[in-house]
Amino acid sequence: MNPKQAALFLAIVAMPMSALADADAEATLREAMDEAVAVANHSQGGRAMADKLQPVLERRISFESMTRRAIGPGWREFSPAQQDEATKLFTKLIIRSYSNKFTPGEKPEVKYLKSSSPGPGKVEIPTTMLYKGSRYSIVYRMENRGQWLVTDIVAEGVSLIANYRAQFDGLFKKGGVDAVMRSLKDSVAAAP
Amino acid sequence: MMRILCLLACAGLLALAGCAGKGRAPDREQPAPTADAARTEADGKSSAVAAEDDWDAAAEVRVSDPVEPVNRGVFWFNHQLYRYVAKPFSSAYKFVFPDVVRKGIRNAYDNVRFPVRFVNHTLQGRLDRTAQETGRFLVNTTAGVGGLMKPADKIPVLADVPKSDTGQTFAKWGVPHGPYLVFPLLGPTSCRDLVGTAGDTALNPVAWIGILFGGAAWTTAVSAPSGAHSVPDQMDRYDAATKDSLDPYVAARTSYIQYRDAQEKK
Repeated sequence: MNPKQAALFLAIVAMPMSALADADAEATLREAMDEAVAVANHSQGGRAMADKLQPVLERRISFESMTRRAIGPGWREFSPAQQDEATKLFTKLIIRSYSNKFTPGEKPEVKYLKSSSPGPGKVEIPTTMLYKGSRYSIVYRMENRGQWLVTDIVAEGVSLIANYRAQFDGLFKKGGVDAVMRSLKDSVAAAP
Repeated sequence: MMRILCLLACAGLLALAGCAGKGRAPDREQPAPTADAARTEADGKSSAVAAEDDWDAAAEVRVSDPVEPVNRGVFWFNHQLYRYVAKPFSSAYKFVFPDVVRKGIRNAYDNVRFPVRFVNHTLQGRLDRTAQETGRFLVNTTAGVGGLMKPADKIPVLADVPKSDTGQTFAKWGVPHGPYLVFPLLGPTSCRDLVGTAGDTALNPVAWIGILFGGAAWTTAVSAPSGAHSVPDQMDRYDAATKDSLDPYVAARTSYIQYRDAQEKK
């Protein structure tokens, strides 16, 4: 082993596990973003784009975790079938919402900033996105569940989960599970 | 004029003190149900919720909204106004003025607001940002033709300086949001940011025009293009916050509070 190889070996061995995890999560996120942008750019926008993006995003985003956290402690009042249906509806809503923000052909320029780990198996990756002449600050929260999955997206300080949690809380307090399910169905059925 | 400024300052401080007091009141705070409730449950489903309490804490956005019924009424009024007046205006404005013109107008008004950022960075003790902001102003005003362009964005040390305003300064000083309010036309704010907006207005050279030339008509004439230009941007922000929401009022309120809290932390 020459000195250069030895130095590289030592650098890898001495590297904290969290740094390796961060790098792994960031690589997954980059891959997911590239894949999603490529699919979005080859679709016609609107509902067609949402349909094409759904399988791609379902592999990279934990919609089950997002739905559970967005609904919060009220989640335990849902039957397994209702939990499943709520997850499907919330997934559709989120994918449609994000698809509507993209215009086919417009490529976002993403800059990945220094990530941090708020706990074991969790990484927050801050990014800046230049899109159609405007710059946005977006943080991706990821968790390792066998593979790295996005569990929350914080755009300009606004957490997707926190935003929906506040809405679900009000609905749940007023009308319980039925009110939440009804509202989700109405929102998904509404024209994009 | 000094008397008027003193009166304004006193009124601002009184209002701020009132806001701070009200902000601490626990009534009508609207957090998510406590995560502790989930911890006490022993069944599998609830333990899944409890296992994620550390992240759930970040999902709770506390907002004091003691006048929610009134706010909701004003929100509904604004929504109709956005839908039937502001949106058509926004589309027409975008059609008449191409992107490059709108960007130039936005840049110029942003550049003129330099004293707002300069004073607030200083009051927050961020002298490094005060210096950066001064550098940006000098570069953009000279090389950027009066601020129409932003060549400072191309200089690494001057690019990406976080914005600063009086509401943020109050937040850094520990003043809480206070009650959430929605105003006709102007939209959402908190009591703290309302007083902050008064401070920003006093620091904005556009407002000085009226004082210098002795009439509100001058201020209106100078600020009107800025107001007109900001409508499309405001429409985009409103849509981003409320589209695909289950309760647009709550979505707008939560977005506003989170956005402002994030700005304060920068």
